[in-house]
Amino acid sequence: MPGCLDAFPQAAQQRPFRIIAFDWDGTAVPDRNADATEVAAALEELLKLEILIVIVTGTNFGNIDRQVCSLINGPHKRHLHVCTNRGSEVYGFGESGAPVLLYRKEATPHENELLDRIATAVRQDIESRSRVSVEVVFDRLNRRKIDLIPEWPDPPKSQIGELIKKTEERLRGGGFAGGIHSAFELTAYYARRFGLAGARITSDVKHIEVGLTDKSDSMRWISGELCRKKNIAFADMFVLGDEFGPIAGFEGSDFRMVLPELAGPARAPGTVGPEPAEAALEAPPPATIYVSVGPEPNGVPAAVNHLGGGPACFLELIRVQIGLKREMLPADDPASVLVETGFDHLREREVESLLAVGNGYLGSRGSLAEQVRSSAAATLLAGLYDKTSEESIEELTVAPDWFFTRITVGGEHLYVSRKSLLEQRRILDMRKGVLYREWRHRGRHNRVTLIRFTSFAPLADPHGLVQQITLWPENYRADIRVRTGLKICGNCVPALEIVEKDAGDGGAFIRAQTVYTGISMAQHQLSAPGAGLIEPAHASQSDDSGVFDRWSWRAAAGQTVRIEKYVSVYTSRESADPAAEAGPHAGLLARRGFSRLLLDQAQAWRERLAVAAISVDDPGSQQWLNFVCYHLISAGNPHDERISISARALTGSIYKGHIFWDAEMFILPFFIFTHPPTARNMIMYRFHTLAAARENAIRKGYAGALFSWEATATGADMTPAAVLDARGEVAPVLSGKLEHHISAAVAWGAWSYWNASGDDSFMAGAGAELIIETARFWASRVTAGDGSFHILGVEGPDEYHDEGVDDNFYTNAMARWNLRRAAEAVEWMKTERPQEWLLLAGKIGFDDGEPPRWLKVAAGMYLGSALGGAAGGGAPAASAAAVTGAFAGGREKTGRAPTDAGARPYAPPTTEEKTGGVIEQFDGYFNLEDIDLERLEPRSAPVDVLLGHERIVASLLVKQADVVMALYLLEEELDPAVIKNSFAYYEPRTCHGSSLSPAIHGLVAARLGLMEIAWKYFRLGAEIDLTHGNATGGIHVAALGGLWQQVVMGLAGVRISAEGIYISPRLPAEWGRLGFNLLWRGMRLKFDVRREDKTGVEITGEGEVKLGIFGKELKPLNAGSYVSTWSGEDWSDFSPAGRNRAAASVGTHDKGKAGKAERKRR
Amino acid sequence: MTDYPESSGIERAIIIPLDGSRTAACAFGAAEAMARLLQVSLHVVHVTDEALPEERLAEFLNLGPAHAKEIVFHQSAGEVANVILELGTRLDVSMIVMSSHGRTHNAGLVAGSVAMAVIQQCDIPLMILRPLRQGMPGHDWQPARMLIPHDGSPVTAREVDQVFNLARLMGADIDVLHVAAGARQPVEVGAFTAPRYLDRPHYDWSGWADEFMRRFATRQPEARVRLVYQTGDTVKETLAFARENHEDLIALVWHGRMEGKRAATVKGILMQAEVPVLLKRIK
Repeated sequence: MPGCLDAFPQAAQQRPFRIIAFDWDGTAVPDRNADATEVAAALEELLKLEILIVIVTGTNFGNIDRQVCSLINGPHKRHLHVCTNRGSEVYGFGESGAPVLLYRKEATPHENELLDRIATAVRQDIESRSRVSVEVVFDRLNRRKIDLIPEWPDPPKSQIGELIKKTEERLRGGGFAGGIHSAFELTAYYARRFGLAGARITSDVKHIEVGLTDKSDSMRWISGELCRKKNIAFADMFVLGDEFGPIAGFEGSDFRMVLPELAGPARAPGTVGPEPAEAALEAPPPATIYVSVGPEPNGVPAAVNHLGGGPACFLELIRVQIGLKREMLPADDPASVLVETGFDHLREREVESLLAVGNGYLGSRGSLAEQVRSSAAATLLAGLYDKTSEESIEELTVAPDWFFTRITVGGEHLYVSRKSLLEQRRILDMRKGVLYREWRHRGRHNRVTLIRFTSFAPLADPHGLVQQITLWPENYRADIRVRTGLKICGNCVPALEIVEKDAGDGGAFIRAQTVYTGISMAQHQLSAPGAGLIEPAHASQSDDSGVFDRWSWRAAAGQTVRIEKYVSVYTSRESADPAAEAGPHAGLLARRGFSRLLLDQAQAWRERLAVAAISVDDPGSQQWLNFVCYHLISAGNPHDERISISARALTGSIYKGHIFWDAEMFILPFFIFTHPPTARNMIMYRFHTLAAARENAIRKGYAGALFSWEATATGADMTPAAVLDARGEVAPVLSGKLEHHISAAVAWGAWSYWNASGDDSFMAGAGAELIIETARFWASRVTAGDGSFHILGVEGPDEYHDEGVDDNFYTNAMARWNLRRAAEAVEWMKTERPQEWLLLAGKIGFDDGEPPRWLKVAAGMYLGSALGGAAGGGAPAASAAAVTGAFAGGREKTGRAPTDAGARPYAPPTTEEKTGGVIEQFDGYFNLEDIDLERLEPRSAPVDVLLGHERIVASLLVKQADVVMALYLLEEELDPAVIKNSFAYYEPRTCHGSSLSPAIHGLVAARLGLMEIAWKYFRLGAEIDLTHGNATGGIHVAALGGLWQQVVMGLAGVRISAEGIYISPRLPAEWGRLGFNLLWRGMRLKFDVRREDKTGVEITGEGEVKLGIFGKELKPLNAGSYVSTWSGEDWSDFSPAGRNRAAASVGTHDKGKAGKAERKRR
Repeated sequence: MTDYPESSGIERAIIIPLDGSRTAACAFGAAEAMARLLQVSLHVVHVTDEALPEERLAEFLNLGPAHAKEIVFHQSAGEVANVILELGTRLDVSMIVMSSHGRTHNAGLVAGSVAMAVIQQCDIPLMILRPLRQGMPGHDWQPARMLIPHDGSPVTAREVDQVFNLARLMGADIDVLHVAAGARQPVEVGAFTAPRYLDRPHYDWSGWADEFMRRFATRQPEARVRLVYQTGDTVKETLAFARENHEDLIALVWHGRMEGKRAATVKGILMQAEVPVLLKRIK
C-alpha cells in the first residue's frame, strides 16, 4: 500500500496503541458481505498481544458476529468489544468466547413512540408535497430509518458518488426540491417539534436516521469503561474510520467518533501532538489519534488524519501495530529467550548473571528490583575500578543499583516469598537485550497485584538505562506506592565514596567517586508515570541508602499505572563533568519516552544481530548460540578504547573485572568479524597500556612489552601474589609471574584485527608498535643454548604445570609467530607508511639490527622434535636432537610408577611420540606420569583438586587446551599428521578444568572431521553457564567467544589467511544448516551452509574478497551470490549462484600478479 | 503408663534417656552442658515397669553429682524408643542427648537397639555420644567448634539452618566441610557442588565458597563460619578434618534410613567419631 503508511504520522507509526477502535463497514472491510478472514486474523494477533479492539458500527451485533467475531476464538477474545446499533449496545466476550451484552440503551415506550412519529411525519411531509415516495424502517433499536431511495437496496460505499447523484435526482425530480439536505432538516424539525431531546440525526445518503444514540455514545462508553476503568490515556487510543469528512453537505458518519475530550485541542491536519523530541516528560501527547482510510472527497476535520487506501490501508496499519507491539514484548521464539520461572533463592545469584543486561559501557545483573536477601545486585561500569587500600589490587566497584524499586499496596510491602508468590517469569529477550519480569503477588486481604518490569541498557546509547514498572491491581482498590531510585550498595567492597546526592522535582541524582583511583561518577534518574488518567502524586527521598522518587495513587481493580524511569550514568573517564552530562542526558531519554527507547533498542539489536547472529536449524543449539551472541554483544564496548572486556564482562565481579589473555584469544575474534569498531577498541586498550607493559618487562629484566596477566584500565599487574586455596591454605599465584604468552596474544589480536579489517591507520598508529614491542620482549626473553633459542621458566595455557616449565610449545611457537610478524610490520611500515615509520622508529628507539635478530631468534626457536624438520620452519638439527635426548633420558625422568587409583602403568613415549608425531607440551613433559582420566570418572571435583597439586604437576594431565590451542592458531605452520596425532594424544589427557578448553577442543576436532567429539565439546561449552551454578559469579564470556570460534572456525571450517578466507564446513549430524556472517575488509560475507549439500555465500560491499575452499586456491570474488557444492568427498570451488551468475565474477587467483598487487603483508 | 506432666508445648528442654548403665550415663555431662548453654531444663527419662523413688533414681542411674539448674525426672513404662520420642514430641525439645549404647553394650554395633530406633525416627536434633571414650564431655563442656559436612543439596541446607541456630546458641564456631564424593552428587535444582571449572582458581575458589555459604546458610549464624572443601571418602575426610581442626562436635544432616547399605556416612562417623555427633534428620 504505497502512500498509505508514508502519510501516517511518524509519532503514531512508531508506538503501539492500547486501544484500537474502528468503524467496520468501509473501514475494515469493503462491505458487510466481504470475506473478513484476513482482517480477523490480524485482529486476533492484536488481541493476543492484549490490545483492546473495539468495533464501532451502526449495524446490529449479529451481522458483525457472523462476519468477523465468529472467526476469532480463544481466551484473548475477551479483549474484543463490539459497539453496535449506532451506540445503543456494547458486546464483549467471556472466557469461553461467548458474546456478553455489556450495555444496551433501552428506549422507553414514549421514546419509541416519538421516534415512530418523527419518521412517519417526515415521510408524510415529503410525500405530501412531492411525488416522491419514501419508506420508513421501524424495526431498529432506538432509531428509525427513512429510506430516500428504496429501489437501491444496498448501495456499496464505493459508489457513494453515484448514490448521491441518484438520490438527489430522485428527490428533486419527484418535486422534493430541497433534496437530501431538506429531508435531513425536516427530520430535525420534527424531532424538535415532537420534543425528542438530544435526538441523533445522521445520514448515509440513502437514509436519514433519527435515533437516541450514535457513535459518540460508543466512544463515550470506550472512554468511561475502558480508558477510565483501566487507566488508559486517550492518547493511547487509535480510532479509524472512513467517513469523517462531510458528504453531500452532512458530516460523515464517523465524525461522531470525534469527541472533544478525546481529540484534544484543534490542530492542523497531519500532526499528532508534539514531536517526541520536544514533548515534555510530563506532557505526553494528550489526544486520541484519528485516521480516515476512506476517500473523503470533501476533506476531513482538523482532528483527523487522512490516509485513504480503504480496508487495505486499514489492514496495513493494523499490521504495523502488530509489529510494534511485538517489538515491545518478549519474542515468541523459545530459542530467542531465556526464561526463569518462579523463584529459587538458592539459584538467585546464578539467575542474575544469566539475565544480566548490558551494552559494554555498563552492565546490570538481572536482579529483582525489590532486592531480596539472596541477591547480589550490581551495576558495573567498564573501567570503574578502585581498591580497598593503597597496597591492594584494583577491582570493579559497584555503582548504585538503578533497578531498585519497592512497591507498597495498602501499607504492605510486596516481596517475593513462598506464600505470596502466585507466579513469576523473568524473560531475557536475547534478540533485543531486554529483560522482562512478570510477577503476580498475593498479599494481605487476598489482594492480587500483577507487576511487570521491563528493563534494558540501550545498546545505541550506552550511558542510558531504562525501566518501566507496570502495576495492575487485579481484585482490589487500595493506595499504591512505588519507591524507585538509585540505591547505594551498603556492603560492597570497594565502596564508592558518595560526594553528593539529592532528590527533588528535577530527579534523583548521586555523585560519587572512587577512593584510590580518582574516578568520579554521576547517576541521574528521572521517573514519571506513563500516560493515563490517574495522576500519581510525587515525593522525593534522599537518605543514606540512596535517592528515590516516590509515586503514590489510589487505584481500583483493573486500573493499570505505569512508572517509567530513565537513568543516565557518566564517569570522569569520558567526561570532565559527569554530573553535568548525566542530568541533561536523563532528560533526553525521558523525552524520547519508554516506547520509543524500547523500539530503538530492538532496532539496534536487530542491526547488530544481522551481522553477528549465527543460525542453525536445531532449536536447542540455536538458543545456546543466541546466548553466546547476546552476552558477547552486551560485553563489547565500541565507545571506549581505554578499556577491554574482562573475564566475566560486566555480569559479575568475581574476577574483579580483570582483563586476561582471554580478551584477545577468545573474545576478540567475534568482534573482529562482526563488529570491527569494538575489536579496534579492545586492541587500542592494549596500546594505551603499553607503558605499563614496558615497565613490567623492565621490572622482570626484559626488553619490549610484557603485558600484565591480569590488568585493569592502567595495564599494571593486578594478579594477586597469593590466595587461599580450596583447602583454605595460602597458595602462591604464579600466573602473574609466568604466563608470558599474553604478550603474544596481544600481538596476535592486533595482527588479526588489521588483517581482517584492512585498517591500515590502526596498524600505522598503534598496531605496529604493539607487535614490535612484544617481539622485542620475546627477543629478550629467550635463552640461547644448544644452537637454539629457549624460553625457560614459563607457564603455558595449561596451568596445572604452573611452576615454571621450559620451552612450552605454545609459548615458543606464538613467540616465533610474534617475532616474524614484527619483522613484516617493520617492512610494511617502511614501504607503505614511511612518514609514520620515521616517527615510530624515533619514538621506540628502533635499531635496524632488530628485525634480523628477531628472524634469527624465530628461526632458532626451540619447538621440540615434532617440528624439527617438517613444520618447524627451519629449527636447527641440534634442537631436535636435544628433544630426542630428553625423551631418551637426557634429563632426569620425573615420571612415577603407578601406585594408586587413576594411575596408568608408566610407559615410555612411543616411537611415534619420539619421532615427531606428537608435539611435546614442554621440555620433559613426556616423562611425567600418565594418569588415565577415564578412571577418575565420574568425578565430582576438578581433577587437580582430586589428585592434589603435587601429583597433578608431575602428571601428563593438562588443564586446558595448550598444544591443542596451537594446533588451532598455527595450523598452517604444522604438518597435518602432527595435528592429528597431537590432538589424539592430548584430548584424552585434558581435564577441561578451564571453561576456555572445551570449545577449542571442539574446534580442532571439527577441523579433523571428528564430529562426535566436536559435538561433545560444543555441548559442553554451551552448557558452561547454563548448568551447575557455574554462572553465579558472572558469565564466562571468553568461553562464549570460544564457542563462537568453534562454530565459525571449526564447524564451518573457516581459516583466515593473509590473502583471504578459506572455508570447509563439516556440520554435526544434529544440524542440517548453519548460517553466519563475516566482515572482511569492508565487505560482508553471508554464509549459508547446508550439511553435505551446498554452501552459499552472499557477498556485499565494494571491492573483492578472496574466498576459497580450504585446501584449494583462493578465488577473487566481488559482490554477488556464490555457491559451492558437496561432491560426497569434497567441496567444489565457489561459482556464481542462480540469477546472480551474470553479475558475480569469479577469477582464478593468479598468485604472481595478485601477489604483486597485494600489499606486502597480505 | 506415663507419669510426666502434660507440656504446654512452649517449654524448651533437653532430654536424656538413661537406663541405669554407666554406658548410658556417660552422655549425662553433655546433656547438662547443653541444658546450660541453651538455657533450658534437663529432662531425664527412665523407662521402667517399676518406678523408683526419686531420691534413689539418681544413684540408680549413675548420675553422680548433678549440676543442671533444673532436672526433671520422668519414669515411664513402655517401648523405650517410643517413650523417648513421645516425650520429645510433647515437650518442646531442643535436643535429645543420648549414648549410642546402653546396658547391653556391643561396641561392634553402630548403636544399640534403643539408640538406633531413636536415631531412625527422631526429627529433632539428636546428639549421640559413643561411650567409654576418653574425655567424655562434662557438665562444663563448651563446644568451641562444630563441624558440619554439607553435600551442597538444598534439602540439606533447609535442615542445616536449625543446626546453625544451635551452634549460635552454644557459641560455637562452625566449619562447613564440603566433601566431593565421587559420582554421588545431589542433582536437585539449586544443588551446588564443587566447581566444574576453575579458570582462575584464586578467584573461583573464593567465589565458590562465598556462593556456597550464601546458598546454604541463608540465616547465617553469628558464629564464625569456615567453609572447607575436601575430596575423597566422606567419612575418612570428615573424621580427619575433625581431628586436625580440634572439632568438638560433628553435625550431620541425613535422610533417616539406616537399613542395608544406606547412610554409610552417618554409620561410619557414628562408629568412629571421637567427639559427639549431632544428627538432624531430614523431615
